[in-house]
Amino acid sequence: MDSINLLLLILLTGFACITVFMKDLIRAALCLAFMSALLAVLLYRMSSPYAAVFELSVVAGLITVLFVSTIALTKEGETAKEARWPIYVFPLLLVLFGLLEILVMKNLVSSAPITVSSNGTVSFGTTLWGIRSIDMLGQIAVIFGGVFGVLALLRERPLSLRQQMDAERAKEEGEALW
Amino acid sequence: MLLLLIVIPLAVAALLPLLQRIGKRLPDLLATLTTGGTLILSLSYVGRMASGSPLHWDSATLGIPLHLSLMVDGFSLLLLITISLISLFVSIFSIRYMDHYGDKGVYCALFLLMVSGMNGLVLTTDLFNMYVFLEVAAVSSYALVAFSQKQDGIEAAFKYLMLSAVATTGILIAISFIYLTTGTLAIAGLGQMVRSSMQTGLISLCLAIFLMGFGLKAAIVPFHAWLPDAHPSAPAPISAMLSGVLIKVSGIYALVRVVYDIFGLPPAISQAMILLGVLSMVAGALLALGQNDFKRMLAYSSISQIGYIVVGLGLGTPLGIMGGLFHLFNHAIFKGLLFLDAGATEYATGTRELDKLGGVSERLPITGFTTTMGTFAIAGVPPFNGFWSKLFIILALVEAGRYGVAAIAVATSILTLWYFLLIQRRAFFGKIIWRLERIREVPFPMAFATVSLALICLAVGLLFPWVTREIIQPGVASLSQAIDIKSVAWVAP
Amino acid sequence: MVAIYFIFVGFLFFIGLYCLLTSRNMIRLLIGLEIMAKSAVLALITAGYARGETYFSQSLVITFIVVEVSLVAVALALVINAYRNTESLDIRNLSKLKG
Repeated sequence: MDSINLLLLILLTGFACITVFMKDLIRAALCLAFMSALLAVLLYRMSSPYAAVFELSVVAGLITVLFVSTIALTKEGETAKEARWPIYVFPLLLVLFGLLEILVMKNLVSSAPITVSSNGTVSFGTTLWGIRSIDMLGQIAVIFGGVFGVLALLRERPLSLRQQMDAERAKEEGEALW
Repeated sequence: MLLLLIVIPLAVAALLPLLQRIGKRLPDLLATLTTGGTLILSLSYVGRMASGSPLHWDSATLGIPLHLSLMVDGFSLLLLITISLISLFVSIFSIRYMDHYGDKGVYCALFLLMVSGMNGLVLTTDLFNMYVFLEVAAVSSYALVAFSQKQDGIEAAFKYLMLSAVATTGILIAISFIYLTTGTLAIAGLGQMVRSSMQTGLISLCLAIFLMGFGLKAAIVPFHAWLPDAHPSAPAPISAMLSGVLIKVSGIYALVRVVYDIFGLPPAISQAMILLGVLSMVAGALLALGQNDFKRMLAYSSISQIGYIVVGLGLGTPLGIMGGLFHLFNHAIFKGLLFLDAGATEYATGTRELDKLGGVSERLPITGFTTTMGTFAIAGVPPFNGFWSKLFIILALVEAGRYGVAAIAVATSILTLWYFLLIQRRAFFGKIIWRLERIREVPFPMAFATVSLALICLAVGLLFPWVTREIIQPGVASLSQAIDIKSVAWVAP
Repeated sequence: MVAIYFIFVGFLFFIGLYCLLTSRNMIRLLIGLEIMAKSAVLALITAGYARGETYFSQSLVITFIVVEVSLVAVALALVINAYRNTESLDIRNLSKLKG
C-alpha cells in the first residue's frame, strides 16, 4: 500500500469533513475544489492520468465556477442558518460507521476473487471511442439534457397581469418626469 | 434499425430550439411525428423474434470504427411499445395543454430527450451504459417537472433530484464492485459469470444496493417519498409520462434486467420483491384514500399498482411474470389516461381539488367519459384491461401457494375500486355545481388523446388473448429463459 | 490492499450523505452530493487499478463526470429558481409538499 496514496486518502477525507462543516459557502466551495485537486493527484498516482486531468479541469474548474456563481447570485437575503447539532453528533457517527465498515469491507473485498488482466495493446483513445462508443452517445444526450434543462428553467417568465400594469405605470411616471 | 430509436429523437431534440423560429406549431408537429415514428418502428419488431431469442444489432454493419451494440428481446420490445405509445398520445395532448407555459421548443426538446434516453436504456447491452441513459432520462425529467417555474414544481423537482442522485451514486458504486470482481460490464457476460461461479458476499451486497437504488427509481415503498410530490407538481402530460413510463423503464425494467439476467432471481430476492411489492400495494392504496388533490391521489395509486407489478415479477413463475408484464403495459395506458384526464379537468375548471369539483361530466362529457373508462380500467372492472392483468397476478399467487398475499391483493383491488368510484361519483357525476356552470369542453387535441387512450384500454381488455400472445408473451419467454439457468443454489453468507 | 481504498470510498460516501441529510442550505446539499460523486469516481478508478485495466475505468469515469456536470447544472438552475421565488435557500421552506 503506497504511503503517499494513503496520505492523500486521509487528506481527502479530512477535507471532506471540513467542507461539510465550513460556515461560509464560498469557502466550502473552494474546499470542494481543493478536494478535487487532491483526488486528481491520487488518480494520477493510480495510473489514471486522463481521469485525473478531467477531474481537475471539469470538477475542480467548471463545477466550482458554477457553484461560486450561484452562491454569489443568491447571497442577498440569505437567511438559512445551519443547525448546531450536526457537528457534535458527527464524530460519534463517523467512528461507528468506520468500525462497521472496516469489518465489512475487509471481509468482502478480500474474499472476492479478482482476476488481474492488463490493458492489452489498444490505446486509450481506442478504448474510449472504440469500445465504449455507446457511452459517447449517452454523453451527447446528457449534455443536451443539461443545456435544455437550464434553458427551460432560466427562461423569461411571462409577467402576470399585475406586474405588467406595474411596469407600465412605472414607465409612464418616468416619462412624466421628463 | 435499432439505433434510430435512440438517435432520431435525440437529433430532433437537438434541432428543435433552432427550428422553433420557423413556425409556432412546428415543435409540436415534429415531436408528434417523431413519437409516431418510434411507435411504428417498435411495432415492426413484433413477431420477428422466434420464441424469445433476442435480436442483436451491432454497428459493425455500418462499417464505421465505433462499436455500438444494441439488443432487443421480448421484454425490451414490450417496453419500447409502451414508451412510444404513451409518448405519442402525451405529445398530442401537449399541443394545446402546454401553450400557456411558453417556450414550446425547449419543452418538446426535453420531452424527446427523455424518450431517447428511455429507448437507450431499454436497448443497451451494457450495465454502465444503462446507468448513463437512465441519467439522460432523469435529467430531462427534473427540468420537465419544474417546467412551470412555480415554487411547488421547483420544490418537487429538487427533492426528486436529491433522492434520485443518491440512488444512482449507490448504483454506480455497486457497478464498480461488480467490475472489480468480474471484469466485464456486458449484461449477457455477467449473467454467466455471476450465476456460475461468483456467489460472494460482495456480489450479494451489490444485489441489495441495486434493489434499493432501482427501487427508488421505481417508487417502491419505502423508497417512494419523492413520487407524491413530483407527479402532482409536474405539468399534466409530464405526470402522465413519469407515472406511466419513466418509473417503469428506469425502475422496474432496470431492476428486472439486473435481477433476472445477471443474478437469476435468487429466492431471497424473490421474497424481498414480494414483500416490498405487498408493502407498496397496501401503503399506496391506504395513502391514496385521504387525498383531496386529484393528481396526488393518482400518484399514490401509482405506488400501489407498481406494487402489483413487483409482486408479479418477484414471483418468478411464468404466470406471475405474465401478470406483472401485462399489468406494466396496462398501467402505463390507464394511468397515462387518468393523469391526462386530471390535466384536462384542471384546464377546464382551474382546480385539481376534489372537494371543489362536482358534476363535471355534465359540462365536460368527453372528459367525464374517458375518466370513467380509466377508473374502470384501474379498478379492475371487466372487460377492461386492468381486470385481466390483476387476475393473472392473483392467479399466479394462488398457484404458487401464496394465499395470504393473494388475499391482500384482492382486498387492495376492492379498496381501489371503492375509492375510485367514490371520486367519480363525487367529482364527475351528478348535478354541476354553480361555480362550474360556465366551463367548456377541452380543445380537440386533448380530447383526441384521452379518447384514444380510453379506447385502447377497452380494446386491450376485449382483445386480451391476442395482446398477451403477441406482445406480452415474448417478454415472458425471454425472462423465463433468463432464470432457467440456475446451476447452483444461491448461498449468501 | 484494495480494501483500504474502498474503505475510504465508504467514508466519503458517508460524509457526503451526512452533509445531505443535515444541511439546511440548498447549495450545501449540492456540495454533499458532489462529495458522494467523488466517492463514486474513486470506487470506479480503484476497480480499474486493481484489475490493471485503467483505460476502461478511466473511460467510465470521464462519462460519469460529464453526467455529473449536467446534473449539477440543472440542480443549480433549480436553486436559482427557488431563490427567485422565495428569496431564501432554506430547505425548511420547502415544506409545502408533504411526503
